[in-house]
Amino acid sequence: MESLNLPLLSITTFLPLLGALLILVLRPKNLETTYGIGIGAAALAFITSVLIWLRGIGGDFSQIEQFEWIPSLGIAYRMGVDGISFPLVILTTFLFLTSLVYSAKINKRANTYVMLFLLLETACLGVFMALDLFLFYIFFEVTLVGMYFLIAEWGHKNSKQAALTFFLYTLLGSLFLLLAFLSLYLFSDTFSIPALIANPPLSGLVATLTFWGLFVAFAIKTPLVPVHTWLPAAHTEAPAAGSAILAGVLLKLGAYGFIRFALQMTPEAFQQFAPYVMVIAVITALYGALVALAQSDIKRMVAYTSVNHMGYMVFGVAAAATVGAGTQTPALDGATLQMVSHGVVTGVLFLLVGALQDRTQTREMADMSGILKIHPVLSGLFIVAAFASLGLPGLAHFPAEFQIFLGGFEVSPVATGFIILGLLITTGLYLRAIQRVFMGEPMKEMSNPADLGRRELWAVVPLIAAVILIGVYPDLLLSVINTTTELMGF
Amino acid sequence: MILLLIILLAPAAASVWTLFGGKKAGYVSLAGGVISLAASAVLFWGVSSGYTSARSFAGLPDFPFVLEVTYLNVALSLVVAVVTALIFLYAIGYMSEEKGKWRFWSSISLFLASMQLLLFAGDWILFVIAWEMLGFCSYLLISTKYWQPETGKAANKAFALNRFADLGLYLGVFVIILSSGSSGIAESPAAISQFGALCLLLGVMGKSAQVPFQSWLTAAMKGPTPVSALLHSATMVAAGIVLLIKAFPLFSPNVLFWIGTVGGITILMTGLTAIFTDDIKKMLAASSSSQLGFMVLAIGVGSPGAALAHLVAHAFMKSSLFLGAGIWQHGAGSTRFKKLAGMGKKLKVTFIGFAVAAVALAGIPPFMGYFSKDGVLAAGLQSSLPGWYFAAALLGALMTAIYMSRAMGILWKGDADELEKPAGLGWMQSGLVAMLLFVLGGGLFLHGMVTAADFHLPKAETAKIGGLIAALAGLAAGWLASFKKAGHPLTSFIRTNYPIGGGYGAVVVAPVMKLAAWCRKVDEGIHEFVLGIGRRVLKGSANIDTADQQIHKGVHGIGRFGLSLGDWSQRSDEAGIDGLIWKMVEIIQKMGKEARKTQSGLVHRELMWSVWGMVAFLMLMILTLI
Repeated sequence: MESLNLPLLSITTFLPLLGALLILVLRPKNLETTYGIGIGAAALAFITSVLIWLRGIGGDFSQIEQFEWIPSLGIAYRMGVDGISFPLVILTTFLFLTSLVYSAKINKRANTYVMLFLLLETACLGVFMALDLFLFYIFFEVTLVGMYFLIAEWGHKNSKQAALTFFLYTLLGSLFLLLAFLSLYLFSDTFSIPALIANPPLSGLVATLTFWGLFVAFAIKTPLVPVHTWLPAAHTEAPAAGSAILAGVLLKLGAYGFIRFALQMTPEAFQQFAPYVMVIAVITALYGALVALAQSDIKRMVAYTSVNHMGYMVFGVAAAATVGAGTQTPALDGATLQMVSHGVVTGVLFLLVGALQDRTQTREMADMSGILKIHPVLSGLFIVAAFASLGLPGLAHFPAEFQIFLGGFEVSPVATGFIILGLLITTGLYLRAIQRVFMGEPMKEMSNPADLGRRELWAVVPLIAAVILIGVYPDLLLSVINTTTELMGF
Repeated sequence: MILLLIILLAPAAASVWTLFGGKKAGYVSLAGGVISLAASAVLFWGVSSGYTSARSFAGLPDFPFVLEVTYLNVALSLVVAVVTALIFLYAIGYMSEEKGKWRFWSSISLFLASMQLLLFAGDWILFVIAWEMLGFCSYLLISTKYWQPETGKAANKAFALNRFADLGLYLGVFVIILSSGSSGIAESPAAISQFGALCLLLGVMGKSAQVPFQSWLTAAMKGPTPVSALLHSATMVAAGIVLLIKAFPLFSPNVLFWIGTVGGITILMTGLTAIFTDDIKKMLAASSSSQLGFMVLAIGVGSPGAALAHLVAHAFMKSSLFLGAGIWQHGAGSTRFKKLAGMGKKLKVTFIGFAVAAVALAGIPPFMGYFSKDGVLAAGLQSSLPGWYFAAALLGALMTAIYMSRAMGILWKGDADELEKPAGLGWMQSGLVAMLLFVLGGGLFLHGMVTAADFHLPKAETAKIGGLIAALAGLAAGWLASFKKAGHPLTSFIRTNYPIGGGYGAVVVAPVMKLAAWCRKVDEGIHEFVLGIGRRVLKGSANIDTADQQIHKGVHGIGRFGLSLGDWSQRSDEAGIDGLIWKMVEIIQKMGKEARKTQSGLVHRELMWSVWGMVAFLMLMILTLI
């Protein structure tokens, strides 16, 4: 493998874009060709991302590809992966592939849909692998545009409003991000992410302001309370696969930013303000869980659990920031794994909710009952995914959350004592949902009486397998993550 | 180590087989259980001659998973394997008429694997994993008949209460790991903070259905009776005791006092519940809590040996009782005492089996329960506070005898209708009879086992005599006293597990739901606020639009670019953000020609617009299309 010197990172990133261009050129007339190209491109991207893994992920940035771009400003095309970004890369290729498979029945302007999807995949991969602020920012903005159209065009009845909210928020976030990036550049004269990490350039007031700029930008994206309301709106209105991508991958843009930028480039400011961040994270986790508990719409409920899980994730990062580099803590490992776990678990939950909605024509839990009897496979998979989401050991969230809480407990037992109550609330809400929707006597009117079909199974089963694999053998990813966090000093 | 893997994987494989629709579900599970039992027996033979081992696996960074073979682990594993195999045997008969078989067999096999994992876990993280898996399997099993509404509620209650207590286990384990830097049970610190220890106790109280968490066990009786026999008497609830035994060295005397007190209170309160209850399964459930209270009390007085002995004895006795109850349940179609009156005479083999187990539980020699209860009583007597611990245990023994004898009395006295022989009776009775062999003879091995596990089973003459008198008195009282249907409000308060303040539903669930609804309202408020801003922005742009009509005509020439853009945005959204961008484009265009006419009072808004428009437009166009 070593002898192969292919630029796998760029190949992985731009394969989906190539697929999109292919569709643009060929303008296929039937769905099969369109989705064939789309799924083919996504599958190839997944394979190349596995090849990147097989080549070996080092502690520091590895497999770097770079060439000059705008030399006068020090902007270069730089790509690379490390133990923080690679798990997200593989998550992205995996989730896009399964979501596309799941989508393969959408025939409303299928060509445009698949093209947008592939464009979005390229942008997300670019965000995770970019090692240049400028390049990062471009990819970051492209994801917004792509997601905006996906929600507005293929969403449910209130999609316009949801798309507007989504855009307003993210626009605001981008503004802060731009300012923070400019400040990083002005004080260091470089756009190179590795250089900025090696020598964090800022101190004093500038560092504080930049940290809060980054914080606001990523807090919107992650999202944290109180700037989270775009998320449930967008999630509920987006098509199932769009929600899966939104929750599974796009939220990770913010989460990843917390680690890559806030923690690595303004470590001192983060350490100083970590207590505040922790409080916000605790509020986010509990508030998100409580609002989810009060929902009657199952999709909104799942959407709000994302707020809860991202609260845990940021809590882990803040705990790591508090102890600072040089002290070992499991919190950062947990936070990184949490991103992947949340991606697969919530991704599969949204796909299953979509399948449920296709069959019942409703998302109101009060209008459903006894699905377990009518659709045992769908229900069984949902129950597994739901228990994964509430943090059952042996499934994906447990190793992540256990480490987050363990690391958090070391820093602040009180805050951990509070945030851990979130586990209880999510338990309650999923139990309630399962009881209402899946148990009891079967409901009468069902428009689509068949259980999960082949297309749905091909999308959902690999994700469930990943949920179990991460739960049973977390070392698979944690060994990759840990080499980097150890190098970072956590 | 291979044997250990067989113990764990045989039932797990059976579970997977059934889950994927494999044929002969019950028999495969039974085979998995028997293979597991055989491996456990061979391993027991090994550890009896001094073999131990430990093996690490990849777990979390710095915290590997560890499986440990020690005498204690294997002995408990053997007990669990025997009880489970016999209950599986019984369940083939019991489930022959029931629906939801694949779900039942798949879950119960997974349950067995989890329980064995819990016993062999050599590190705290794996212990937590197995611990919560037990809760999950229990949830699945209680909701076997998921189409009945109250079943779902019972399963929810069991899992939710357990999860709450599990948070205590999490925090306790955090304290342990952080104070020793290692997650290995063998490397546990010499002592942990009182906070950590009390957290562990919380976990135990939930899992072992101690006051005030006992009500989930009663609710769990909605599950099929083999589930009650296995999970809610012999294994799952026993996990709490396993935790106490393994963590015993960490407890300070102060914490031990709390543990003993929890045990003592549970013995008395749930003992009373068992006496007043009107349902045989609920009686057995309350009795399980009470008997587990004996074990918790034994730990509290510093005698894990007595706890271990009672754990093992109780496993056999209580499963036998449940198995008997299940046969009647199938015969009479109910578990209410009212329906069961006189049933004993119709199914004599079952009644004799039930009676033997009942007398054993009451603590009459030479049955198993006599030896273990004696151990607990002696431990209480030799403790620092015999006035409390010994008295509680002695009273508990008296209550045990009363409620067991009362149940026998009801089953024997009265006239029952002729009943149909339940289907699968042969399977069920063979399971019960085999279990009884252990109840009869197991007492002889108890002492040796406790000693080999490096514990001590206390003995005292006073305790022996006191216990016997209490047992005999209780048996007589229970048989003679005919409890009419207790209509007094106090008895129904006791029977329904002391619902102080309206019970768990009113005290915990309702306020949380209220809080959640409030949060939802707040959230909708925030959302409306943001939307309001968005709408105002849009409305502003619409105003400008009307004001701009004339100018618009003037700039038609530049409009070509705008038109193509408008085309693109019109398709997607007239009122949405594309429209917004379109308007921004207009404004920016207009700005160039603005100077000559400023009409209307829109200057402010226009200025604001141009700034925001510029920023948004620049960012969108330049940065995304670069």
